[in-house]
Amino acid sequence: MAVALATVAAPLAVWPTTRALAFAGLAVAELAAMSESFPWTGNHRYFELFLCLFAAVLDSRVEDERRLFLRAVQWLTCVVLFSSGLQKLVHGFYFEGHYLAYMLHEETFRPILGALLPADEVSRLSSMRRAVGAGPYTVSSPWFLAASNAVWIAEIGLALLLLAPRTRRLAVVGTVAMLIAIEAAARELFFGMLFANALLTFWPRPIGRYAWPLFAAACVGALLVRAGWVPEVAFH
Amino acid sequence: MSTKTKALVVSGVLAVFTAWPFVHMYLVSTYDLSPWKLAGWGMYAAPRPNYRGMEIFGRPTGAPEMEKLGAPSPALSAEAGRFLERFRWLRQLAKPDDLVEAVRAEHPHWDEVRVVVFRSHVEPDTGMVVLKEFAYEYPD
Repeated sequence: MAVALATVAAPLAVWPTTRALAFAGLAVAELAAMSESFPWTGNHRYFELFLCLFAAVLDSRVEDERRLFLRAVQWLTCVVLFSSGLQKLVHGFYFEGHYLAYMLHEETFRPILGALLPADEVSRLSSMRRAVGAGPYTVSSPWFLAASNAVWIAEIGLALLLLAPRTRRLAVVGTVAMLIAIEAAARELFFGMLFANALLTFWPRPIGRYAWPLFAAACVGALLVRAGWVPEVAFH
Repeated sequence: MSTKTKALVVSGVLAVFTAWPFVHMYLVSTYDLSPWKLAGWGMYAAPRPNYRGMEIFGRPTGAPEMEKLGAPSPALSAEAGRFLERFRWLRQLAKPDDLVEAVRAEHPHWDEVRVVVFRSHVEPDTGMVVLKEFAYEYPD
């Protein structure tokens, strides 16, 4: 139901006169998909829902509402980035590198995180089966510990830097670089694209409109992988 | 709706969106909710457990001790699987009411039912994987 509704609604978003209706339809499609998948609904769906609701309510042809939409998207982006860092700080799995050490078990994380550790430590951590009694997920490399703590510090810090006009460009570049590094391991394709698009709204010029072929190509690539027409690449 | 009214509505929604992660963190600390889900933006903040399991006990009328459910029926196993999937993310906010109802339908002589759920968990202090358990008692 959600896919059918989204398929009908999405093309209507192209024309300004039907845009509000299209995004209202997409918001309903998001809600339907969320109710089907709850409670394991991906967080990107909540983000998409708010974007659709704002796009449905605010008219992009009215300058004040267009600016309000932009500010709302930017605020959502800052909240997501800040909260993501704060959650890592609160749960405490990044101080001693436990979380990233635990993730060495996963193939997509190993090439990136493994470069920060001696080979024998990579072998020890990646061979642990995560069963009860496994561990300790501790590391000796100061580079690994620095990278682990840099994640939450950067997320909180960049969110704050995005708020100030003077540091905004630097923060966009830094956050996009961090996003690319995270997505190289996490492979959260749709969250990554969504968040990258939201980040581009901070840039003083509307560069997002020039980036859409890149995101469209990524979606086509994902479709081709799912269809089995190109070699398998892990993504979520 | 005027632009001013829309601005008020959007501001209200943004206020809720901003406050929610703090409510989410409270739910995680109080009910052991998974930080990964429900828009708290805590994905990758904590390891996801890869082991879950449960045991079900019941006390027959007048019996001094509880007995363990040995061989659950396929319907009961399916209900237990559905509950464990909810428990995976909602933890103590997930209540096994439907499961207990199914257990009582198959064991009407049980006056009391206890559902014990296990999950693996990485200790943030030691980095070791340990087993955590939580028990539900029916009636409360």
